[in-house]
Amino acid sequence: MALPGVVLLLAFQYVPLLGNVIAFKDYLPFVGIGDSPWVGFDNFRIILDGDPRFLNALTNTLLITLVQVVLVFPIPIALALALNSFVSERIKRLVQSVLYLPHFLSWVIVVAVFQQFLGGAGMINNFLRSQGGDTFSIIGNPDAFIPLITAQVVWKDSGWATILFLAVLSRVSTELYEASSVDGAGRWRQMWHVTLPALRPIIVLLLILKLGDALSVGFEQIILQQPAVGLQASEVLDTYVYNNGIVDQNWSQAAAVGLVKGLVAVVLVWGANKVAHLFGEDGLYRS
Amino acid sequence: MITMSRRTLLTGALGAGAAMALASCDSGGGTDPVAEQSANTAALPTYVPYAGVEPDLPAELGRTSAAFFAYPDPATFSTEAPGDGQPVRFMGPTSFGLPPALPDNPFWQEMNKRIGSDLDISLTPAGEYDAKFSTTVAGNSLPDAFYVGSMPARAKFMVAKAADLTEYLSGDAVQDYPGLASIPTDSWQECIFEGSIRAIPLNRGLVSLPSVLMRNDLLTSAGIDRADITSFEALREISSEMTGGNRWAWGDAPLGHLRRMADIPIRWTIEDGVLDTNLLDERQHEALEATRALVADGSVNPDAAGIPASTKKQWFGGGQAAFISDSFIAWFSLYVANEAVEGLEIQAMGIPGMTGGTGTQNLPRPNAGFTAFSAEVGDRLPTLLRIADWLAAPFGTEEYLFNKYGIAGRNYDVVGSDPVPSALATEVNIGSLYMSDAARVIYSPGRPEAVQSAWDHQSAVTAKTVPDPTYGLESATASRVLNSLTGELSSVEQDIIYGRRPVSDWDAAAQAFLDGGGTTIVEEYQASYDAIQAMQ
Repeated sequence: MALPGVVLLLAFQYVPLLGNVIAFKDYLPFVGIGDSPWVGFDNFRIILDGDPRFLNALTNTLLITLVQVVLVFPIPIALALALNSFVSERIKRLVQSVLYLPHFLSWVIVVAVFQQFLGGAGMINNFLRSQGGDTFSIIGNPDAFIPLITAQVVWKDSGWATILFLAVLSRVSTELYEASSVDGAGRWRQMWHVTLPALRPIIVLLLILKLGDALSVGFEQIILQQPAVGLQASEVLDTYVYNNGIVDQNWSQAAAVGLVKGLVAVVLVWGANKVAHLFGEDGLYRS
Repeated sequence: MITMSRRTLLTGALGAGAAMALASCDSGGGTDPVAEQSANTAALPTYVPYAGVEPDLPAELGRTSAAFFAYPDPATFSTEAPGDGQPVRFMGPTSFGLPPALPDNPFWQEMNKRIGSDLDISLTPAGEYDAKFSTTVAGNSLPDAFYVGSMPARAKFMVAKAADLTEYLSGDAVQDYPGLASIPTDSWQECIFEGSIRAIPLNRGLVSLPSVLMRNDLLTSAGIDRADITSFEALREISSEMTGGNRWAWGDAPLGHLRRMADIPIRWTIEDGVLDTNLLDERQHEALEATRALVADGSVNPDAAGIPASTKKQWFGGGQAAFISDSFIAWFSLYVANEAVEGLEIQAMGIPGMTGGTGTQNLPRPNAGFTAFSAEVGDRLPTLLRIADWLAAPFGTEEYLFNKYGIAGRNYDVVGSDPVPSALATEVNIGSLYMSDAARVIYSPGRPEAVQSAWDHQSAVTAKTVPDPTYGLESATASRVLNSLTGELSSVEQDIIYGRRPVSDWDAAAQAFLDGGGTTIVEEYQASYDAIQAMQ
């Protein structure tokens, strides 16, 4: 029964992994993987020697990851708790739907909407200009780039990310709440002693998965806005691989960077899992 | 840097030009450059200009394109449909909006009928074509015919993957394909790799002069005479005057134009047979400083940096931008796209020097690229060439009229002898012109005054020009790293123009360009140039 799944996994996940071999070759597509010459670790030079373009991409990536883990990650949890506290099912549903909606817009649309509103020639600035007021510069301003993309991520995906938390919350037995209120716990104490402990396993699980993704910070969203702010502010590892590998066609170098990125992700997931065990959580798996 | 008077262009440079004519642009990897150059020269097709029409304003090499005030009585060019009934798959870039799909596009259906084969065309916006092309090559899924994007080691690629056209097109053999034979010789140089013809050129010639197009009607209504743009100071002032409310003078930051005004339009230079680069020239600072000043003045649309060319054209049509940088040829398509704009008058900006006098126009390369056939098409090659030949039917023929303007009464209305595009004109943008194209002329249906202005502009700005001295030269390093070096440099350029970095950062970036391969590229170009000279 599992055979089709296994075949699919092999064909589309494992066989393509062999293509990583081009990281150790001077690969030219029309010559083919087999006939391109071996060059050892030459392609890893940009990482080992600290190529400025690569370092810039790495720094930006880490910075964005940090901001997203610290600021963005807790938002869906807070939202889920807030939603959970609504008494009226109808209002809860309505708010949920409104929050989910942006998730179904593609990045192209989201970026265009932000551009239309906040752009230098966008609606708000044009209004300010017509009123003789000062204009602001958000789109196309490298200093505002990280706050901007963070705001976009929050707007687009926070609502959607509440789903898992809400699912867990719906399974918390009402008896626990009843028992705690009998013991004289108010709403805050209930949240601290009942709700949050119920959420802890899923929070830890998602945090580990998030760390595995730490070096991927939204390719499509960023590449769409890259021309406006320049590479210095906006180049991240994923766009670096694209710009360097596909656009400039340094396939081998890009493969080397991708490979290292994959290894780092494995180490991060493995490490975070160990940390989770230390805190008594199951994490992703337990051997 | 060579600046040329008309005379030097026609005498001295023609010598050099002819010398470059002997080289192929891109062939790398050959062992003996001199031997290879002569093989390339031997392969060039014979040039047989189309004799069926006489232009109203003459073409002059390096100065002007042929121009026509009205469409001549269309002559029939071919006697039979070129196709073989089998579909032809083609992949190319496009600078237009996407056309209606085949089932909803009577023009495309008619095209297929006239060709006798279905054209199965896949188009990608020009800006993303190179990425699309490189992934297609990597995936080994090239169609029958494809526009050749830029890539490292392109010469090796062409010899490995593109069909050899030499036996069909070399020398007098090309006369079996009169459309292709009417494409000028300098266009073909780019298509010859290691002594064999591997592609057909998409000729543009002087109609692709890099230019700044202006909404002259807006200038006039603001009481500004375009002849007053005589220096950067004047331009800066006029730019401020043209900015206000929801309009910015510029749809883009005009670094290219200001480099022309600063006499450094092309990065590579040649003087007394010595190739060099002007990247470390002080005038680079001057041009960057000037561009930056226009941005700082608020004369450039604040969203210009991240915006596709199509949006800039919309700004231009809608009057939100008075100036945009574009190719000279866009002059006419902008008229067509903005038929509804009342009083629209387009002109191209002259090129004064920074502080008066005359700046330098860069001459474009002769082609907008080239198209190759897959080496795997086998014995369909003559058929594909016949289709390419048909698509290259010269100006003045019935086929050209159809290829460029579509079906009479549907895509255009006949006014006098002119095909004036109608609302359904966009149906013709199926991209067939990126597969194969005729030699270009200046012509704008029903707008003889625009034709005259355009020809006059060409004639004026080409009085002082500089060609790209590396056209026809080869450098293995350039074919590998020039793209990414240029990319890094232009990213710094953008940062400087938009005030994110000081102008003084330019020198370090230029030095990084040279250290990262630029110096080697100059040396290799020099060797290639010397090899050509040695043949003389």
